[in-house]
Amino acid sequence: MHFLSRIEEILLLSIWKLKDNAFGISIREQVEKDTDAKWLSGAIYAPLSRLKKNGYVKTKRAKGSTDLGGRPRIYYTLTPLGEKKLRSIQELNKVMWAEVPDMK
Amino acid sequence: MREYKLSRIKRWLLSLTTDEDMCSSIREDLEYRFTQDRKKRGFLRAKILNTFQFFIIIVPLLIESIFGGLAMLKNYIKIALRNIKRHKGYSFINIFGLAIGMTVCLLMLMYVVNEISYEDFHEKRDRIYRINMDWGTEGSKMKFAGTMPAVAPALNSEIPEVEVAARVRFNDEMIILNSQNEKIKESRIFHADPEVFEIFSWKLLRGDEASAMKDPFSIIVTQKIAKKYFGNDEPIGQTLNINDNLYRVTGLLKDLPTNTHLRCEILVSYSTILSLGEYPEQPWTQWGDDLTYFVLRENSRLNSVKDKLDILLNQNTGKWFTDKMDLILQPLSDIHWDTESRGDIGVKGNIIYVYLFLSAAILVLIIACFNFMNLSTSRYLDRMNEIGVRKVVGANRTQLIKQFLTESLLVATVSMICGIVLFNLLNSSLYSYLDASFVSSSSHFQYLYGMVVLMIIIVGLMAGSYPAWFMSKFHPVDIMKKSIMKGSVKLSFRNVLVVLQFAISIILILGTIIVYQQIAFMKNTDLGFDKEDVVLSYLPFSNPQAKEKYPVLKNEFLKHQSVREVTAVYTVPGINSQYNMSVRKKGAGNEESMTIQALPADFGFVKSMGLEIVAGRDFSEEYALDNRESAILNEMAVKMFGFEAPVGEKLQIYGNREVTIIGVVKDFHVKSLHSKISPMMIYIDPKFFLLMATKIQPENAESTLTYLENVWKTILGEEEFNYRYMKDAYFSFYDSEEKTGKLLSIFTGLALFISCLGLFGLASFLTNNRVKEIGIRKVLGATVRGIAVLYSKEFTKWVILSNIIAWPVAYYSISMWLKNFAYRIELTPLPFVISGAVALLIALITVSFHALKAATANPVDSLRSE
Repeated sequence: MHFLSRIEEILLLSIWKLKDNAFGISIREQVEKDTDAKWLSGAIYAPLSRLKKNGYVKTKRAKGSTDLGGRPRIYYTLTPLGEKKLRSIQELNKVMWAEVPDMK
Repeated sequence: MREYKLSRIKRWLLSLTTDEDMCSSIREDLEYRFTQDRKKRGFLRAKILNTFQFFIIIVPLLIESIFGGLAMLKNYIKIALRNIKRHKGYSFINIFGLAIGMTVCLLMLMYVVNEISYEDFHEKRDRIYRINMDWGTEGSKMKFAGTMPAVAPALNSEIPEVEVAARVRFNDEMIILNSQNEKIKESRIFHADPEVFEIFSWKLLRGDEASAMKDPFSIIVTQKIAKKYFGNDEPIGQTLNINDNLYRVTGLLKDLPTNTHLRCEILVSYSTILSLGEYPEQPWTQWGDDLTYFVLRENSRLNSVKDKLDILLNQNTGKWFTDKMDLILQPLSDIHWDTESRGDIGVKGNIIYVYLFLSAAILVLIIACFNFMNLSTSRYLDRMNEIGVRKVVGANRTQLIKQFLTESLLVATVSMICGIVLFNLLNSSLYSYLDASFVSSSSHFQYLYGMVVLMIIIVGLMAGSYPAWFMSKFHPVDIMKKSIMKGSVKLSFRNVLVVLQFAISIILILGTIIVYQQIAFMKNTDLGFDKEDVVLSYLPFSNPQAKEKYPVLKNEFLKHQSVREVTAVYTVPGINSQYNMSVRKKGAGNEESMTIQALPADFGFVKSMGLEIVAGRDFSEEYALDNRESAILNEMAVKMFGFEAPVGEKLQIYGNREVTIIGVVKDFHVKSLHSKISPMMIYIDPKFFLLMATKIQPENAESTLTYLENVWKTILGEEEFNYRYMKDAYFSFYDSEEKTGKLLSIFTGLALFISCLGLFGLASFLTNNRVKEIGIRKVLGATVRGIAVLYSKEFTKWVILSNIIAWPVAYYSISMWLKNFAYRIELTPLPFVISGAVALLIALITVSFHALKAATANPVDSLRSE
């Protein structure tokens, strides 16, 4: 089984949470909100491109005119493989946390 | 609000690292964040922040796309560091060689940047022109940097293509009284029209650009001058006593950078000149040397300015004037390179030196890179096991190339750090050793950062390219079978490197030899006058009585038994000023007048300079007419006028004054050997005396000088006695050649040193490769000498090949340089042979270490394992 790095995991989750509204800025802001990593948040683009290359995430161009000077905005969604991966991560986490005694 | 767009270069960089959609997202993000930041922090900070954010995004993407993730990069760096550590001596040679090359390159590039950045801080630099004059008849034209005072106002009012024009007049030293009433000499004082601020990007920190230079006796001072005279007080409104006139400070000018020809420190309003009554009115025929600058209106043609100016000149002067006068419009960027115009100011640059430095910088860097290549590849045997294992485990060639390039980039970075340390240690001492003025400005250091990064990348990639290609090409089976260790590797490329390295070194050696030969030639040439034991001292400009007291001074000087001759002159050899006059034969028309260099002097000039009289006689006080109406010509002048028997002929000089030729002197060099001897006329005219020349006995010069100083101070009243030997003054003409010589010798030494490092590495490689061969030879009865000779023969072959490449290149470039001189040495084969021999000798010494080691080794050690 292929493990994802922590940041890849966080990215998958963020995209999932944002649903139809996942594009560059919103993903970055989501990560900033969730992790407090304000300064280095720009570094998400390298793992994001890796996720895309490995087939967990796909891009799609928005239809209709945008305010980006003619360029369409790029939206990110999970592929079925990505969704499956996310689910298996959740499973794994559940299993792992189940046996942990209460932490105070 | 302006739409912000990511710059093209950033977009290009992004597109290299990732796909189109990602680029688009990143672009949107960065542009969005910029607009947010701008609202909060302002444009400039947002811009800086934006670049920072860009790097945070691009660096991981770059690592991702080149190395496939951070982990691989970490691994490469780890292996590289291990390799550096494991072979300390080798790494030291490698890094040290590169560091020296980089330092030298940086030092030279700083000079080049300084030279080519002249005047580039003026915003309108592309449209600023200066009006120069060509004056004289055909064949004897002279160029002047300044022009008549009437030109600038006419440009402003009559020519619509001119946006604005202004005059700047450079002054001789002036005396300023400070608050303690001490007299301080200041140069760099300019009179200027108020419009200068519309032409040049001079920044007024206080005061109003439009009004500060309007009224007479207003001055603008730089921060430096303000600090010097007013300390930390507010300068505006203060007064300053300059040459016994009181001036009011109306503006504070930001200190100017050093890379400009107009390095003013005090600007005096131009109207002051008019108030002082120097020019009550300014007709066009009023001669002047005002530096006149103008800004061409955008989208206007320069030619139409020139045409209109010529028409104005015609209208306002006569034919006799326009026949001789041509106004030249010189672009601002040409001024730094213009060494011909008289009355010009500022340090002049020589484009030949810029090329020289630039090519030397590149050559030294190339040598250093070659070295790196040679040393890296020569060690490939050590790395074979590593490469083999990597390949077997699945590394492809690209990955190996990346690994070696990472290594070379790392070494380049480490070298650069050492280089910067060296640079900081060396730059001040080197520049002071070279007596150069060009590093003081810190504004150039902004270029330095760019150069440093660029150099790391270029050197890293260039030096790493061949080793990476070479070491990654072997087949793992060959490596594992150790079949390539049998010495079958072709050395051709590396031989080429060594040959080129030595060719460059030979060119540099040759250059050094020729420069020093030319300097020696210039110092030893018979100049036609006796340069020894003549003391020059300026009659102080600031003291008008000094000139009147000259006869008294002369009498007092002559009372000392060691003083042989005293004379006063306008200029002597070694003083870089020239006075030209138009002269015609008696009775000839105006159109036949010719330009001649005039040398007003006093009695005793011929003797104190030791000139040789070839016809007629010297000036003598016994002849009553000599102090007004006699002249001595040099042979050139005789030739120019075409006199058969010059003595007794009459000439007409300015104001219809008539002089009789009483003698002819042999040609002598007043100017440096860069220029030809011009026709010259010596005559007596106390109005033009600028300095005294005193010929003394060489014995007890110290006490004679003390005597002269005492007399000087008694008669002139506490004026300082600043003297200089004529020999020193004359040789200072060759300062820039001496500098070049010094510089070249340093670089030659370094280049040779680096080349030898490379050769040393190569020799060690060859010995390793041929240990067994040498062992067998010895067993079969070869002598140590025989082996050493055999071994050195190969290197000799290469160095000789280097010579063949180097000579034509050197010959061409040296001939170019020698064209600077009107009197120059002939190129003989000897320096060529010498430089080749020196290179060969040094190469053999370097190689012989390994040759002897190999030849004296016991063959048992090398053959036992078979």
